[in-house]
Amino acid sequence: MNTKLIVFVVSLFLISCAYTNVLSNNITDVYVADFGSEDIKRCRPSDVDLSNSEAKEFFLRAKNVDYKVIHDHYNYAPCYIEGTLKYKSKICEWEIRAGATGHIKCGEDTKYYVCDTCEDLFKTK
Amino acid sequence: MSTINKDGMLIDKKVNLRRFQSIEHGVLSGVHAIVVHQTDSPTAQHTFNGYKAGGNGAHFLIDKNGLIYQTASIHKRCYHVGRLIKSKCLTINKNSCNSASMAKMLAMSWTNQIKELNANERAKTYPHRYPVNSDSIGIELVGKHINKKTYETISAQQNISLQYLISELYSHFSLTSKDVYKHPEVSYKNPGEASTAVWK
Repeated sequence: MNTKLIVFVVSLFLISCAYTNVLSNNITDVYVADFGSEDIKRCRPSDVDLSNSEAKEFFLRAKNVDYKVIHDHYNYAPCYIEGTLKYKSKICEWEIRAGATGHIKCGEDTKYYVCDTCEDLFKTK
Repeated sequence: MSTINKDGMLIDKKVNLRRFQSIEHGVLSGVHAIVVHQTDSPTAQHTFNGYKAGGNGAHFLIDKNGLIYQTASIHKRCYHVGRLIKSKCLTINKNSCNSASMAKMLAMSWTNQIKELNANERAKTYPHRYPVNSDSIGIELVGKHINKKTYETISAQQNISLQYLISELYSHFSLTSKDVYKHPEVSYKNPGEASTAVWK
């Protein structure tokens, strides 16, 4: 019984590691290219001032979700940074908003992300 | 003219009753406003499936063909507005804001600013602030999110039904068009949501 439990826990851990690495093994060359704001007086560059490596970190920590999750549960921030990255050797576009939501668009395919553990990346430097 | 029964359901030949108690969260003691939403789902059935599981939802749903469903009692509160509301004085009449404290809040980072503004607004009563879950009815229109600024266009049938439903609710709760808001006006949501909804 104990052996079965240990095998189960180890399997869960390995599955979790494999899942975490889906993006980390495949995302490279993350570059911030621009900042945009639909309300510059209230949502400023300092609200989403991530470096290239911090932008990569955001996507590594973030959860991939249906847009419906963002629609229902997250704030839409009027400012964002955007740029490019390589996903499985393909060049894709990405965006990270000050409300800790983002997306990666590879061709016609857009995947949405939210990060609940990224407060440190958005702290004003 | 419709009536409201003891369970808070609108009795009207144009309204189909499809109540989901799973999206009702406590008592709605008064209705001061209406918030118009879009579902980010392709069909009404997708929304019903979500409602069965509970969580967020609104009191009414209007399908793409204009069919109106009542999905929650109007005596019950639904989670449809969101946790953080925007500042009404900042949007509508800046002169009515307390300029000193407002300037201090606006100097904060965006994340802190929206929390502080919400706390400041919630100390006010409606209509001096935007509506919240505990004083408003939500109407959902079926329609998908398309991109960061756009949702599906509201169909003509949906807008006709929206007008009908809103007119009935005006009569029951003594509301006017000033009490009806699109969701992104009230809280921090994709500006495309319900942007093509129209009513008088």
